[in-house]
Amino acid sequence: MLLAVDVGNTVISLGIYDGRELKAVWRISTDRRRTSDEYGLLFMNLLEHQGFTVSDVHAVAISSSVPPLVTVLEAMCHKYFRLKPLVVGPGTRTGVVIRCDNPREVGPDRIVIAAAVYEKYGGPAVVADFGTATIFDAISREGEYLGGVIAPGVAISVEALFQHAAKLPRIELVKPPSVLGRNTVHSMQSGVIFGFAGQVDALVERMTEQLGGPGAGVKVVATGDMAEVLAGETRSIQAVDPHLSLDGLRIIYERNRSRGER
Amino acid sequence: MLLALDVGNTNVTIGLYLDDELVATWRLASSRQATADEWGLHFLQLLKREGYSRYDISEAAMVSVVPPLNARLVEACKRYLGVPLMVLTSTHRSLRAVHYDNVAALGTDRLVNALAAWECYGRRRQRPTIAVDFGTATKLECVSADGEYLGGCIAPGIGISTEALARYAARLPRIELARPRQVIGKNVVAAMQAGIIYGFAGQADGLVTRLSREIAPHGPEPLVIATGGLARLVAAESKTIQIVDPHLTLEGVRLMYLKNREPE
Repeated sequence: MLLAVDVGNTVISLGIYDGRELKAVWRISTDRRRTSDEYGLLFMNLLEHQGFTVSDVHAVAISSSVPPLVTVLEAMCHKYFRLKPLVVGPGTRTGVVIRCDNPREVGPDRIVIAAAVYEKYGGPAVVADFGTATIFDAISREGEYLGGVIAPGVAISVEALFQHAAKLPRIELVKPPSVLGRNTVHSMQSGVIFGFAGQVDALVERMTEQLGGPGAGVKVVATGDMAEVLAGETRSIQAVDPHLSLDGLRIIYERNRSRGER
Repeated sequence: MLLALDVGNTNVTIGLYLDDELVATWRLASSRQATADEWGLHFLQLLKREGYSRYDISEAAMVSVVPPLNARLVEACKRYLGVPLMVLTSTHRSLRAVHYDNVAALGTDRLVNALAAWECYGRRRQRPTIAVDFGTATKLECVSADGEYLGGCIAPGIGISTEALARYAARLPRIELARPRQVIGKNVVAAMQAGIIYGFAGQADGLVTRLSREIAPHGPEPLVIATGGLARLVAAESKTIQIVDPHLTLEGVRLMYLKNREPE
């Protein structure tokens, strides 16, 4: 089975695939201080807890937005899984052509998402990925990565608001009874939920315009923590796909394996 | 002359009014450390630079969202300018009705923005107003066509969200807030500029559009007035903001002060 590891700035997502089927998913916090042994023990415990063992894992694919963790996780794979992981980076055969100023600057997480959305939905497409940042990716009709948009993420923006505004309380991120807030909590819930929905719609609509307008059949897919909550409030998101990054890692792994075997 | 103070979480904005004319404005950092003496000296120096003295100041009023600063500013006005500083609160007289669950808990900064937007723009045209203040938080305030406060929204502000993004995301640089050439960024800086400029315009538009449907489903459409440091930049990309008034809050302080100058 394949273990897919997507290292984000705040969360590491893990998924185990039996062929194309995602059997289990885990999420752990990204900790830059953890050692390879600590990650090894953590991964083994998580696998065992779901009834898997180290020997079930015959391959590991990694994408990391946190460069220092790549060597830590490579060492962990050698020691605990006795294998060399596929680390998506410059030089990896991903099947995604990058049309940007400096292709090496494009994060591996973007390429993984582009590979997944093109394989699963086709192009042209826009992906809204709600993480530490909200990242919007543009994929052409031919599956090329065209670039994107980076906006402050929902959770860190809300956290910044609590830290800076002396009089504002912490709130739960749920939809309020109306847009018009008549108390502080509802005013903030409205501002956050409907404000970010507005952010998404405005950016997706502008990107769709650049990709050929409403007639071009642009697919709009959302993924990440807040995708489910926000998608219902937007008019632009057509599908929510929580495991797009893990699927992308599986797809890129398969592309490399089949070439390697030939 | 009236000295109007708007104490925000990031800045203290000060306006000097000769009757209804704003003749000078200043901005200071909302330092939590500065003492009453330091504030007082700042005031005197700023006035002097513009050719005024303490004897020109006859009245002072303030709206504040940073309670720990209030007492020091009151003392500074008393000792250095010789005038009492009226600390406006949401229970003072403002709009003809304030529809809010607990009026005392409504930020006074929000109420003065609502008051100024309606008095300066909505009243004459008999239109509802939505004031959008791009500050530490982005705050929207709705007033009906007949001048009643209806409520609003509070969203994370542009500056603090952008700062948080640079702090949390290991690979992202700090950027200049400028409009990019196109929306789909071909490099990280262009991608972030698009996300911020177009994203926050979209945040404001999304909220204004939804609020308009709730407060004026059958028209007339609300007038939308933006204020705050980044209002101009965002308004240029917004589909709903019609007016940018950088001094809306100070104007609201002046208007609310006039309504409360005489005891009830």
